[in-house]
Amino acid sequence: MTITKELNGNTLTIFVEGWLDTLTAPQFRQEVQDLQGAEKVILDFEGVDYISSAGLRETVALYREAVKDGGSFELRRVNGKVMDVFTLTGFDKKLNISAD
Amino acid sequence: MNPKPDKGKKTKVKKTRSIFLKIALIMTPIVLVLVLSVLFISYNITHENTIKSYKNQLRIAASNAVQYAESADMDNLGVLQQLNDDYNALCKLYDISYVYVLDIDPDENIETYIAIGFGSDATQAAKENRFTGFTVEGFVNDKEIEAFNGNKDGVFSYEKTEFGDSLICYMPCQRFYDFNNKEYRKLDKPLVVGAELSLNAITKGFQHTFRWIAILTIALTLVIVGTFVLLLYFRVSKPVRKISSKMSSFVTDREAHHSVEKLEVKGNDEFTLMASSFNVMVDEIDSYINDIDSLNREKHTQEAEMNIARSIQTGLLQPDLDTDAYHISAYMLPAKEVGGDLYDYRLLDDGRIFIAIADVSGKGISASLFMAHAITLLHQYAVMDYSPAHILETFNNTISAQNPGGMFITAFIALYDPMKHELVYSNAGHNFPYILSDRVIPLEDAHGVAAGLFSGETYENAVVKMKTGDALFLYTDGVNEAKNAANEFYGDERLEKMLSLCIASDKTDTINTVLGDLKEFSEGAEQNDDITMLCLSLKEPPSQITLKLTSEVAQFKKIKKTIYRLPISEDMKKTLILGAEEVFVNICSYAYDTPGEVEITITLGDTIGLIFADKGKPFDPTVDVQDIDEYDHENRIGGLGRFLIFSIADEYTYAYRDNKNILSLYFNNEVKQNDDHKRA
Repeated sequence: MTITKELNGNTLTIFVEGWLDTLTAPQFRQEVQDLQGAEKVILDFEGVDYISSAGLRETVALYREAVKDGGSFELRRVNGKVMDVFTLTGFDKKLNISAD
Repeated sequence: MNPKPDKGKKTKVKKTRSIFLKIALIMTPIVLVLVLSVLFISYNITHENTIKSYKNQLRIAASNAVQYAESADMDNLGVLQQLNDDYNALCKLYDISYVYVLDIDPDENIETYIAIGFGSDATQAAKENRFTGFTVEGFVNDKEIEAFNGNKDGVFSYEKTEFGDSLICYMPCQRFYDFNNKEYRKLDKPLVVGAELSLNAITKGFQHTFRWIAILTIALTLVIVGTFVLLLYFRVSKPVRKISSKMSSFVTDREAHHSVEKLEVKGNDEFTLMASSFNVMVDEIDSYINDIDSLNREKHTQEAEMNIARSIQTGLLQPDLDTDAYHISAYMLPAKEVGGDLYDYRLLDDGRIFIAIADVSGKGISASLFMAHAITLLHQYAVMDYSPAHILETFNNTISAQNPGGMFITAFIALYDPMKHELVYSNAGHNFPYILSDRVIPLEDAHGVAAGLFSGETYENAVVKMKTGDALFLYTDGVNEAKNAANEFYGDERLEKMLSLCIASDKTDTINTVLGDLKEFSEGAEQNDDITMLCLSLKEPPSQITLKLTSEVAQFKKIKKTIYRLPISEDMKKTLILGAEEVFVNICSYAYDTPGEVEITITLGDTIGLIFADKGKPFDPTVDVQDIDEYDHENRIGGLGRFLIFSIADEYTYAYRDNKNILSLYFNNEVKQNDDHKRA
């Protein structure tokens, strides 16, 4: 899994590529710990092929961290199979998910 | 090394000796016989001549004796005494032994000495036994009778008398001088005169002389033969032996002193020529051996380097691959140490199998370098998600841009999708591979030109369906163009026949079957091209796979890998992995205080089962599964895994048996045709 972060003004975009599973979740957690004071966090999942509950937990944790002090969070470009996991767990309704 | 030249040396010396011994042994008797024959002949001739001259003397003496007898008055005793004296004088004059006159009576066989004279060699015994009036009875011989009958020429006779061997000349005395009438008158009965020469003395003298001559001649002969043999020994045998010993110890001398001592060249005979020729030969052999030595050293270095090159090349090739779903085996035998054939296969991340076989034009080092380059490129392209035609196009463009040698390469590239049971392939001038199904099917589509010559070539993809139990057989022209001792090709027909035999038997053994037949065919013929074969055989899928793991999260990798290789759709794989991950992570987190055993069984079929068994604390995860709508999405974060498991599984059961938690999840295996890789 590779994670790339882009800070553009107040917006931090996090690009994730690969599998977000129980093995890669700790790496994800560590790399997204510092939101660099961004008010808006965009999580780009275009490169994510797979997600499990471990990855889901980290995504939800990141969402909570981002919106904690009135910031905003957006999850975008989620692939079909990954989207199924959000839908099944009902998080599709809680997280601000956009198709692109 | 040592005993051999020694042995040779010994036999050589022995041979040389025997030759000279032979010469001496043969020469000596021949020369002796010759010399003795000459002596014998000359003895006889001399003897004959001597006897001849004595015969003349005897005849003269006898005729003189006849005259003396004719003119003597026999009745007068005094006259008889006078006759005796005259005969003595005759003996001395003609150097003969006896002269006598006999009165012979042939009828009575009686003879009587009338008068007798003795020579110097007359014996005392003869003098006592032969005197006037002495009568001998029974000794009248034919010669005497011949003379008695009137042969005036002198009758010669060899006689053995009691006084030794004698030569006698008999003559008749037929008249007498009548002193009264002063005239010769015929005798009534003729007398016989004998002049006798004792041969004893003469023979003795002769023999004495000739004995000395013989001894001297034999001695002289021996000396000459001896000298000749010695001369041969020193002038021929010694130089020959010297050269021979030099020759036989050539290698040992050379090894001991790193050089060979030259022979002395002196004189101007054939041996000088031989010695100088030998020296020239030594020089030439020496430099020749040095050349061979350095060539050998070079060859050894080269061989070692070629061995390294060979192992490097072999290292570029994949080992056999055996999974539950398929078996890939390959065989390669370069015609030289290294070859220009190559094959490659790899399991891609999406479960497809990449297969390539190629044949670089030519063989040996140049081809092998090109091969190394080609295999590296194909390795690279294999993982780039290109279709076979695209791989060939890229490959062709790359190598034709860097091909100063103008070499070309034929290649067949294929991707097998085990899920769709489809083989997509493209061919750049390579022989048609075969699919071994119900029959042997050559893959003749999508055939383009060989790569490496023209950039910008386009290639096509062809698709063929394969089913479990089928095999794909690829080969290079080293197989069908192998020759036998009669210079005939192995040929496509025989290859196809062998492959059709493989259909009925274990297809994983196809290469060995073909190879066995090929070896039998080309027995005794030189291999003239690299031989390469590759066979992918699709196995009947196993009904179940069991994984034995310990309850550590890191082991999840193994589960992932195993599921990924299953011949199922990409989505199905992800669903299974998700289910497996959630269950496995739960077991790892809660079942054991310290890591314990976890056994996962995957059953395949229309329904795929994932069965987890652990010996941890009894826990039924299927009870009290929360309704997701009641989940506190705002604040909670745990429990999602368990929820996911039962959402995605089509069926599930839990049992506690034999101290084991057994959780079974079942998924409907629907092959969806709209999955995401349409690469063909």
